[in-house]
Amino acid sequence: MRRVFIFVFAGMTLSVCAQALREDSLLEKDGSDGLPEWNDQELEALEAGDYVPGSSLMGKLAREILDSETQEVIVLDPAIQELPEEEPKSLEWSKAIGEEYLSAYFRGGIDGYLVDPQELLATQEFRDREIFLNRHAKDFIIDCYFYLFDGLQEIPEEESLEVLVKSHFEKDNPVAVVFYFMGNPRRSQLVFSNRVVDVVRLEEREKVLRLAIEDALEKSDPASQLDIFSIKLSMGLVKLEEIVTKEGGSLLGGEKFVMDGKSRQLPDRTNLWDKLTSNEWFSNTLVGLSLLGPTCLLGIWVRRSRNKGKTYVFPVAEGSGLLDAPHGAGVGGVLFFVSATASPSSQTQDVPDYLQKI
Amino acid sequence: MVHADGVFGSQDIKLKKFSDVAGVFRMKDREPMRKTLENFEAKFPQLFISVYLGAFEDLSSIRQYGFWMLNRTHYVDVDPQRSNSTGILILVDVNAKSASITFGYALMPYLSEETTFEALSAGHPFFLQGDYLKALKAVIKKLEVLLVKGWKRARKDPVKVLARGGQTLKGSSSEHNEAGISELSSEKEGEVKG
Repeated sequence: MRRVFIFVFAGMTLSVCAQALREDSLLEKDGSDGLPEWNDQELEALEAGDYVPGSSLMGKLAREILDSETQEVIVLDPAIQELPEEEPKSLEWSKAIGEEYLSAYFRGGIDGYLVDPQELLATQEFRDREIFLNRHAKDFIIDCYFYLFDGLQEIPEEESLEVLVKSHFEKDNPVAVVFYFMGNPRRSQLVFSNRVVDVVRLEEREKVLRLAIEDALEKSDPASQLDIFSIKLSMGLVKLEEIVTKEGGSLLGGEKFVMDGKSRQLPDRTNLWDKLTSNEWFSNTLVGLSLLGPTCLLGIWVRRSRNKGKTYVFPVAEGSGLLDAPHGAGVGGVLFFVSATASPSSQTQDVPDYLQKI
Repeated sequence: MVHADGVFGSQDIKLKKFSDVAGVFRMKDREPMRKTLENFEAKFPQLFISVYLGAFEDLSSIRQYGFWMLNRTHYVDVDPQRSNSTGILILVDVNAKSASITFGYALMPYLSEETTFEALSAGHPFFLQGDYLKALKAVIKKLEVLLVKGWKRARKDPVKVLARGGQTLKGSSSEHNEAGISELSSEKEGEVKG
């Protein structure tokens, strides 16, 4: 307590000293406080209303209106007023992919893991996704390529994801290529290269896309949807790699895999139970427990039913009597049940003196 | 015993093993109580339990009265082969709101003041509510558990267990049965009938 008091006292002393020093420093040598002062000319103009403090910050037009002392309404320049409003893009237009971009999508060389010639992503967003896909490619076996389209855009009939994979990617490379539609992840398409296709079951491959779409749909912002989609897809591919490593595979042609109408309803989300049951150890344990439980219950039931009819015979004993009592001097417990609030142990009775010697 | 006789009398009394002198049991509750006592006897063929519910005006010591009662009572509805030394008396004073347990010599290796208090405590909530049937059932159930435990101990090492009660296994000692401790059964020691 004394130590605290000393600390507080020392703090107050220092504070007072600092305040005194600051006041001294604010005062100029000539006794002024260092702040600007009105000169006589400005002061007169201010009092006459000719000078408006801050007017230099207000712009010429505002100043003129202020000086004119009229309640003139500021109106927009007619040239600006007559600017035509931007008409919304027609649906037809938004569905089409510009001719100038088609070559970048379908005929150009592969330049990075993220293809976005229409610049649907902002620069920073593009960089973030590109870095992520580069890291994925560096760390894992199956490389992942993203082709970005606008949400409603249609792929030209003469082009397809399968053709793209066959023409642009080497057969022996394990690759996953995605056509991703910004803001509309349900339309996403995923194609694996031949090396991956047959070594992993179709449902496993479907699951990768399905889970990615499901998680993407939890976000509303298109850029966030893409983030989540790519992350989830990456995780799914890692899981597929484990399967490939385990089982090996044969080389077959790439197959396009698109979610059909029913699958788009996404009814069977993989839950914790599916994950657990796919674990061999867990399954074995579950089977063991499912057998052990009823066995234990049966054992308890048998034991109880046996005990029900069981009789207990004690050994025959002999000994000498106590207190001249012919049958017994077993001093048992005494319990009072006067109070509902007091515990039974607090309501015992001491052994009477004459029985203490037993 | 002499002192107890001086207080309560030196004459033997005759009672049934279930006596509700206080009249706290309803008619419909008496039969289940008797059934519980019979079940106990079936489970422990050498033993019996007696229940006495009294409304005493001026009972100086319920424990002393239990001691006297176990030694002076002739239970008319108990198998004569089961002497009082194999009996457990649960005595309830409904006026003083107290209950006690007294037991015969044959049970000394298996029961004690502490364990019988545990048994009584099992019925404490029901005693408080005045539900004597449930209370006594709970007490008897707990006594059964205690006796089964004692039986298991005796089965493993009868000499040691009996020695705790100041007794010896019949045939292993030259002492006579001075106090009339019943020779409990002709059946083989530790035998279980099922």
